Parts: sequence; structure tokens; C-alpha cells
Amino acid sequence: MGFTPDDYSAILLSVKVATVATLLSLPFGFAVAYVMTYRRFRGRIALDVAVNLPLTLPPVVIGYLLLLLLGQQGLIGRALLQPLGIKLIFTWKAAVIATAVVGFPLMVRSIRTAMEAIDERLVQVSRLLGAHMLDRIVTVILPLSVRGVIAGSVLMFARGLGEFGATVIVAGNIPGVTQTIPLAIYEYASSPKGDIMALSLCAISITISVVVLVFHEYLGRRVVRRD
Amino acid sequence: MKSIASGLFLVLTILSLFVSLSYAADVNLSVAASLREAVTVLSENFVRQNPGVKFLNNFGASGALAKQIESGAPADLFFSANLEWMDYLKERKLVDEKSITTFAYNTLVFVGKPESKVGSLQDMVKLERIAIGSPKSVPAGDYTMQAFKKAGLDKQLEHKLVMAKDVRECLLYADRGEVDGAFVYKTDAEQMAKNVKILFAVPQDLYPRVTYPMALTVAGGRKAEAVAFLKFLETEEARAVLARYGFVVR
Amino acid sequence: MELRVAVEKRLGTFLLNTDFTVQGERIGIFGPSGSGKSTLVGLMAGLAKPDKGVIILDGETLFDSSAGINVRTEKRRMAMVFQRPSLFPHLSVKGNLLYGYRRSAPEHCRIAFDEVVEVLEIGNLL
Repeated sequence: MGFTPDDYSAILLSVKVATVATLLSLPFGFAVAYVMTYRRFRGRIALDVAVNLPLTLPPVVIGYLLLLLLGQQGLIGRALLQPLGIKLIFTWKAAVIATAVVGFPLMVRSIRTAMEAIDERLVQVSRLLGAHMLDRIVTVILPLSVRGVIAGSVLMFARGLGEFGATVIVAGNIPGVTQTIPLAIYEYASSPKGDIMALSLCAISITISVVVLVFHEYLGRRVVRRD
Repeated sequence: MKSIASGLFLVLTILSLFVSLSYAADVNLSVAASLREAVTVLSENFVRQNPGVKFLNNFGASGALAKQIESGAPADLFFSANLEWMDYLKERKLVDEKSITTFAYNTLVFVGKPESKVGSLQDMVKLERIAIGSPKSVPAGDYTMQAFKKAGLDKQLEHKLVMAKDVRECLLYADRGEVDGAFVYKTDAEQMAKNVKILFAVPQDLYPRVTYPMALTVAGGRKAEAVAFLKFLETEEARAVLARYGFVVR
Repeated sequence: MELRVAVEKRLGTFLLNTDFTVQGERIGIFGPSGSGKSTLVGLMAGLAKPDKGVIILDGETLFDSSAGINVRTEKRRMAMVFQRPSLFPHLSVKGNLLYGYRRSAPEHCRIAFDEVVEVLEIGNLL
């Protein structure tokens, strides 16, 4: 195919960023879904809106807002990051953050749908049999919502592989460091003779997506049984 | 009979005067976008000294302009951002070969924070993030990479380079402080903002000269005002204007 | 066993208002459909919270609105059998049987697992 070292970097980077973003979001996504399903509290609607906001905003807007927040002159940037010497903008960590923010609503939705489908009675039974909150979550709620967790993770991973708008703004286009597959394709597509390379990378992207979807199907068919 | 004939003659003379007035004084310029400000000022200066001349300026990408001229668009002078497109028209005999001269040169510079201690290309290895135009699509970025390679620094600078889609984006990154500096044309740096300044110029021997050729088209060669304008652009006065915008004129 | 229940609970237009004390080993509550039997049991188990009142079992206060006491369900150690089967679909027969057992202190495990299996003759299901 004639890929350059930078192209291989892009492929590895895409997978790495999407994977890390998904893994990082899992605990938070699960926690938010749990709270939204099982708790009543003031500001519930506000949380719901906040979590779903990235779904409706153009990724570029999300990227720009993240930049305002985390950049050298940003709110968090000035107050927390600069004093600690932490630089996030134009690093792969920023790519992870952008991907995580953009995909978070997808994960929460999936998990919530699965959680809301759990028979309330089963949770009550577990309480009657002496299970405290954490116990219930681990032995009843998680196993019964694992389909949603997997679906949410797959959705988020797939979305992460294709993330461009927010990533290009906060992580920039740095070959070998933050240039993911979509950014590499964009660069090739803007150059006069880059069409073949752009297409080759597209093919790789599609292949990865197919693999992920097949894996998702496989996981979904396994029945989880425990003593 | 005589009065009608002399009346007609008078009318025709007057008409022809009008016709030649409006035809002769319009000069059509096809100018590469990056030369916009400089050429606008120069044409205004020329008009002040030669009232009655009117410039019709068409700005765009050099390639697009060349193709327009090839399709018959009216142009008396062509200003290109590189030699390639001038050669294109020369091959097709659409420009007066003898009139091709260099309008200006541009140079690569590095811009960054004023307090930065960077003074040469070698200092780049000490930095963390450097913005350049993507070499695949931005000529300035391409030249910068060539300079890195010729100086033997390209391997060391891997993973430090942030690719911008154009020079404006480079400047933006530098301005916001998200990168330690950016490589841009000197002329772009002149128009930039508050937080950055030119720290050094890239040695010319490391990259090909960025040349802006200009020439009269075949039609322009027949127009006195166009020829006069071309001569004007080679005067010291015109060169001073170019220098003010950051172009190099020798 | 001594059970004291004096609670009030409003559910929409329905108001449950009861006050009784019973003593005994086996106590039955009868009533017409919709009279609040399930609601009452739920309040006693802690699955729902009374608007006000007290629930005291064998001297232990499970609920007292004026004192701000509300013992969580998982601590009340009250087993409840629902009208409709509520088995954990993700656990095996053994897992279902042992769920509560595993969460009880040894002194509360008065029946051995094997005995139950034998009596119910479900050894082949395990």
C-alpha cells in the first residue's frame, strides 16, 4: 500500500486514543447512568442536558470550548494546569479528552437504556437479601446491564476512531503524536496528489470498524452465567 | 449635403474620442492573493501620478488566474506566486516573454514570543511544539521542510511539528501560545498580531527562492498604460512599498 | 415477635393510615383488593418510606419520622416473597439459592444449604 511511518503512526494512534478514551469514560459513564436511573435529586434535568449536550453540538464547537477551558489562557488552564506545569493542548491526552467528551453521551445512553430495562423487583430482592449499594451494583445491576455497557463502549470506540472536529482543534495535526486517521486523510485529501493515500487510509478505517462491529456481535451472543 | 457630412464627421470624432478614452485607461490586473495589499497600494499610487487610468484588479490563486487568462479573461498584467504558473502561460504564448521579470521575493521567518531565546534554526530542537503549514498542501510548509532536511534537522524535529492548513492558522497557534513558534513568510508575519514577533530568518541557502514573477500579457503589451505600470513597478518608489510589506526586492 | 406499626402514606389519591401492635409467631393480614396490603408490607421492608410514623420490630426501631430514623432495607433482614417469581436470570439455581445466605452473618444461618436441597429434591437442578 505504500504507507509511510507517519501513516502507521496514525493508525496506531487512532486505535490507542479511541481505546483509552473509552476505557476512561466507562466508570464515569456507568456512574452517571446509575445516578440517572436510580436516584432522584434536584438538578437531575440539568445533568441530563449537560451529558447529552455534546450529541447536539458540532464537534468543532466542543473542541473550541475545550480549548477555551484547557488552553494556556483558559479557565482551568490558568488556574490549575499552568501552575502544575501540565500541558494538554497539542498532546495525545487532548485527543483522548476530545474523543471522550464527544462520545460520552453515547455511552451513557446505552448503559441507561439497559439499566432502565432491569426489573425493579430484582433490585428490591437483592436489597431484601442484604445487598448494599456497591454489592447490588456489582452482583445485579452490572451483570444485567452488561449488554448496554458493551454496546456503549463499542459505539464510543467507533465514534472515537472517526473523531475529527474537536480533535483537530485541541490536539492539532501533529504526525506521530496526535495525527489520527481522520486527520491524516484530511491532509492527504487537501494535497494535489494525495487521493490514493487518502483512499488507502479510508480502507483501513473501514476494516477496523468492521472488526469492531463483528467483535461486538460476538460479545453480545455470549450468555453470562455466574454462581 | 456638406453640413450633414461635417455634422456626421464631428459626431464620429467625438464618439471615437470617448471610445478611445474609456478603452485606453482601463488596466486589468490578475494578481496572486498573497500580493493583494501590496499591489492595491501600488496601483493607487500609480493612479495618483497618472489620473485617468483605472485599475480593475482580480485576486485569486495563481493557478486559477492562469487558467482564466488561458480561457480568454481580460488581463493586461499577470502576477504569480510561483514560477510554475508563469511558465504555464509562457508555454502557451499568452504572455510577452520579454516582459517577464521578478516582482518580488519572499522569505521564510520564524515567529514566536518576544522573550523567547531562540535565534537560529538549530535552536528548534530545544522547542516542544512548532507550527508549520502542512507540506502536502501549503508551499510555505513545503519550503520549511526542505530547509529542515538541508540543515539535517528533520529527524530530530519529528513529533514536534504541528501541521496547519494555512499560514493564518500557523500564526493563530503562535499567537495563542499553544506552540513555541511558527514558520511563515515574512510578509505574513508583518500582518500579525500582538503576542509574537519575528525571531530570525531562515538562511536562504537552505530552501529555493520564493519568487513572484510578473509579466505583460499579449493584450497588455499593446496597452501603453500597462507597459507604463510595469516600468513603474521597477522603480525605487515601488520597491520601497514592497519592502514595507515585508517583500524582498533584490 | 412483637411488631408495632403506626404509619401514614399517601399514594396519589390513596391514603394508607394504620396503627396496630401485634404479637405472635405467624401473623396474617387480610383485606380486600386495593386496601393497601402490599403497600404496608413494602413499608415494613423499607422498600418505600412512610410519610410519617413509626415501625418497631422486637424493640428495634426500623423507622421513626420524628427521630429521623430510617433503617435501610438491606439492614432490616426481612425476607419477602413476591407474588410473581423474581429469580435472578443471570445467576444459576445455586447462585439464586445462596444469594441471601452469603450475605448473612453465620449466627443467622440456621438452615444448612444441603438440607434445603435434600428436602426440596432439587439436587439435579444444581
